[in-house]
Amino acid sequence: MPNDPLNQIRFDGQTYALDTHGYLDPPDQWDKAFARGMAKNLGILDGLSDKHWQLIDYLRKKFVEENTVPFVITACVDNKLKLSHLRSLFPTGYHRGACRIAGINYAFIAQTNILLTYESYTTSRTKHHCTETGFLDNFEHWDKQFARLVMQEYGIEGTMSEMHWAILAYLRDYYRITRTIPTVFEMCKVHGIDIEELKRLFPGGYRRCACRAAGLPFFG
Amino acid sequence: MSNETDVVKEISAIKKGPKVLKLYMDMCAKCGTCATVCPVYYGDDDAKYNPANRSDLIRKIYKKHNTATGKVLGSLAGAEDYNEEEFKEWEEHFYSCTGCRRCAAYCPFGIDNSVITRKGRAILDKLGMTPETMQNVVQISLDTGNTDGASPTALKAAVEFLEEEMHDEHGIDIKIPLDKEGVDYFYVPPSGDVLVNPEATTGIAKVFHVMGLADNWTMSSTLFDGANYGLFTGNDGHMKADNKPYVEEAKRLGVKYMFMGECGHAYRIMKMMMEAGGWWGDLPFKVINCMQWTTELIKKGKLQFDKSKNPLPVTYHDPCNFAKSCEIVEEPRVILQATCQDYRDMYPHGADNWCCGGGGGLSAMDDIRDFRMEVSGKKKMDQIRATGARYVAAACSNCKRQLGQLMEHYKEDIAVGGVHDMLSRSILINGKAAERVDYD
Repeated sequence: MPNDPLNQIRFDGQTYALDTHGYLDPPDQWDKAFARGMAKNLGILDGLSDKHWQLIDYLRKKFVEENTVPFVITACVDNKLKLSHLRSLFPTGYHRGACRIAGINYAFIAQTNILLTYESYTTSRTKHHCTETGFLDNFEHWDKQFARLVMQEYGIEGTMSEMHWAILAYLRDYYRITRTIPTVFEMCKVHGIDIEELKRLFPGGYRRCACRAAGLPFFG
Repeated sequence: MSNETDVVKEISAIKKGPKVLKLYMDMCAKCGTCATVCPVYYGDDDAKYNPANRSDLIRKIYKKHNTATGKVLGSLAGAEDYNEEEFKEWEEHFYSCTGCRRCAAYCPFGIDNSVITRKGRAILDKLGMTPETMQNVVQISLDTGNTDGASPTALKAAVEFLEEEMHDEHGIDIKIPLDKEGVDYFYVPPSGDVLVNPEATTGIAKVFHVMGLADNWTMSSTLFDGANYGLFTGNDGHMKADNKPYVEEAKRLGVKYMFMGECGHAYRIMKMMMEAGGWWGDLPFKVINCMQWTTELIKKGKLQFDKSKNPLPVTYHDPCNFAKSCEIVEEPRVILQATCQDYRDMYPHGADNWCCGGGGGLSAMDDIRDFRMEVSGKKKMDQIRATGARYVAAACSNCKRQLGQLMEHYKEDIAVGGVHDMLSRSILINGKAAERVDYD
């Protein structure tokens, strides 16, 4: 079914066939572009880190060379991962996140693991209540996922730098104490950057992008 | 090759078998009450999902060969002879019943269709017609002692890992003893509660620690899975072969209690069949369930919890084997109410509860996943949605698998887990609840 959009997906101009559950099938189509694309679909917006790749490579190795899918605990033991760390690395969980990104098809997972992980399935979709213009309703409900979602709108994906997070943290602290925002010049001075640099970091502008990503209300 | 003689022989044997099954063959008024309470029939009102119709597959052959009216009057008395075409569909028919026994509770004659379903599956099993996916699970279980096919090395690594995990959470050593002889409690969980969804096991380890019994319980490194698929394929031989090593291990370890984990059919087999039926003679130990034990302790006020660790609304799904066959209804609710801020009940619940749709071993069969999602699990999904809960606790690995897949299928943002999972997250040890490292 080459034209069925449900059963195929495109990443980086390459088309991949999926099974009915949305897992890569046949599995030999797997490449790194698929992993990167699928990761973004499964709530990993910051891109795949070394820690991610370590587990993905491990799963690929087990799958291709030993034709198996290890238990979630075994995978954690072999990779010296804590369960909560695994959960934060792959928000949709082990089978539905890590194994799916590693390109293992659903039928094979179900066949080798009678029991599937379920527990972290829910954490992938935290709900953020926004105003009509997309600003966070409640300052206290902010989390990093919200910032990532906002930045994604402006095409910053997987490359949020230390400076991004530092600026967002500064804005939040400033607002928490003063209930207002610093002027854009104050802001640049504190972080030792110029306006051009700020524009590069937050392409949507200071108030509409940086402040919004920090979970602040709109200052018109 | 026709299976007629074998099938007729098996069905005729019912006449000399247990009286109850014989009565089920004789009485059925076709009143349809069973259909109205069946989770499968609720999902799709096709005649083939009507429990009475399914049971009739066996009943009519029985009548034809074993009753005077059936022999003389034939179809007028509801008797029909074996039909090769129809027999080909038996596998689908008998593996679309979840064996939840809800019909038995409502039937005016008390007919338990799950018993007849099991008989049908037993006949299929004898003829080597058990679905491949089920047969694989039985085989893995008989070969390795657990349905996951995990080795003792994998279990030991997992247990060490869980001990480290608990050390991180509480800053103290909480042990999970392995193969320790001369202790009081022998913990038999479903293997998934150690290898895949391990929080139930950490919860139990923490309770033992708080009670000062950390040296007085053990797990076995070879026998750590109470799940027994012989119950589901109808093969009594497999069921007993799978069960016996556990009894022997308990005797070898010299324990006082066989401490069953959160697994419905494992507990039912141990308590209601093995112990009550006296399969292996007099036992030097008692079979108890972890939820009953924990509940006792909570009621005595020996455990303290920090409810704020579980703020989300929680509901409890009654696994059919616990609620309908073992009368464990109140206990999990006591635990959840003590450990969660917002506990909500489904309606109806307890022994009236609807099956998750994956009972009778169906949840392990991924070839009928669509049936489980769209037909048998539909009612459960409606029930869970109506509670508004964000976490469904189910004390059964099969239910967890089915419910997890339901949430995925219906794109619901609801987590699925066990009962002791919630306890593990909120129990106070030395006045402190588990600290979770936030990596984000």
